[in-house]
Amino acid sequence: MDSLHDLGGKQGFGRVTYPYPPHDETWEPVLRALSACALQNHIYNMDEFRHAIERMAPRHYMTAPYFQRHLTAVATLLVEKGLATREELEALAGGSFQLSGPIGPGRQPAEPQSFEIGETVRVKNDMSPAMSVCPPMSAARPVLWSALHLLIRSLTLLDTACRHQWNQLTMFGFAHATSGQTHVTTP
Amino acid sequence: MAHQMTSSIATPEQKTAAIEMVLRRHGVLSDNFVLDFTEHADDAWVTANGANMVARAWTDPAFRARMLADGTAAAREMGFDFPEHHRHLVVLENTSDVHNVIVCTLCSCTAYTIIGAAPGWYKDLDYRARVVRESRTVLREMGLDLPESTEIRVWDTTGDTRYMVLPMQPPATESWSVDRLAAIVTQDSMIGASRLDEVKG
Repeated sequence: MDSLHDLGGKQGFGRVTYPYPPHDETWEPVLRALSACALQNHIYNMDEFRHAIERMAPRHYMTAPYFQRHLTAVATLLVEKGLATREELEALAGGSFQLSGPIGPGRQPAEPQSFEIGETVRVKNDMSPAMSVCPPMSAARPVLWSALHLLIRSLTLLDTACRHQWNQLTMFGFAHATSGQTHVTTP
Repeated sequence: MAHQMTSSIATPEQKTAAIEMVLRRHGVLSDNFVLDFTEHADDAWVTANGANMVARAWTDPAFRARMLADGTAAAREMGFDFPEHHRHLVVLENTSDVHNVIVCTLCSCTAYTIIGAAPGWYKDLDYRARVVRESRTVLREMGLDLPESTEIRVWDTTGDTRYMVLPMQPPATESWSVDRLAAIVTQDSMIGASRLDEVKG
């Protein structure tokens, strides 16, 4: 499943709000501490946490600011790990509490491969139900392999997200493939 | 279902309180954890850490070399926290020809123990979505107009590799002390959203 991310960029977004207006939400540092507590107590690990964020429904994800995405992930994992039910969370919170979507069926990890810097590689357009993270312009196109610059990250989750494999491809800026050549542009 | 008993959407404050109650009920959250964690984060994970590393790199060539070779070791040498699960701190050196800028397109990770908690704009989808494809345009909109001759390198953070930019030292500050230099190093300059060119002696 192609999860939500901005890997390789996305078109249609607007001007960056810079500098950012002052922001003082007292629940945010509390939530940050609670998530650290859960991590330290091995209720979940960082990769499960990220995965829980990326499982948010697209409409929910796009409208939830950073710490609200974290809030959703923590609550989702507490439910999935059996510490609470959604109903209990909603009763404690006194209102509805939208969680992330369920974990997909997973798949076996691909064999590790190694590449040389500068080598042209082809990224599989793999839309299996397992989670994948792949920048849109690289799918099924040759891209330049480089140890520098933009990272392409693909994540394969097994079972219930406890084991995973990261395949890291790195490439140079924004790559266009033409006639087997790779060009770099930075508009 | 729950929706029959709850009619309104819980606020983030209410949701956070619910999570806190669940962790407390399971005995994993001690009474002082939130306060202690927050105090430590506020006191120890500050922009001044990265700024002190930059200022030392500007004045101590041997440290600069160590920092560029192994940012994690350099941060720990300075006594700064760098959590084990953050794995690697990579320091990116700006030059007159190369400007580095960092982003996290998955979840807005940063080396927050070294450069301080990420600013709001860094975590916004507009920055995440655009800086990879249109870095020169985005930086110009943010007030950093780099000449076409400057190569821009965009570094996408991962869970186990975090970056900081080593900005160029402003020429007007050549004779300054380390402490005075550290005071001019901003968080934005260590993200790559600004340079320190305007600093005058």
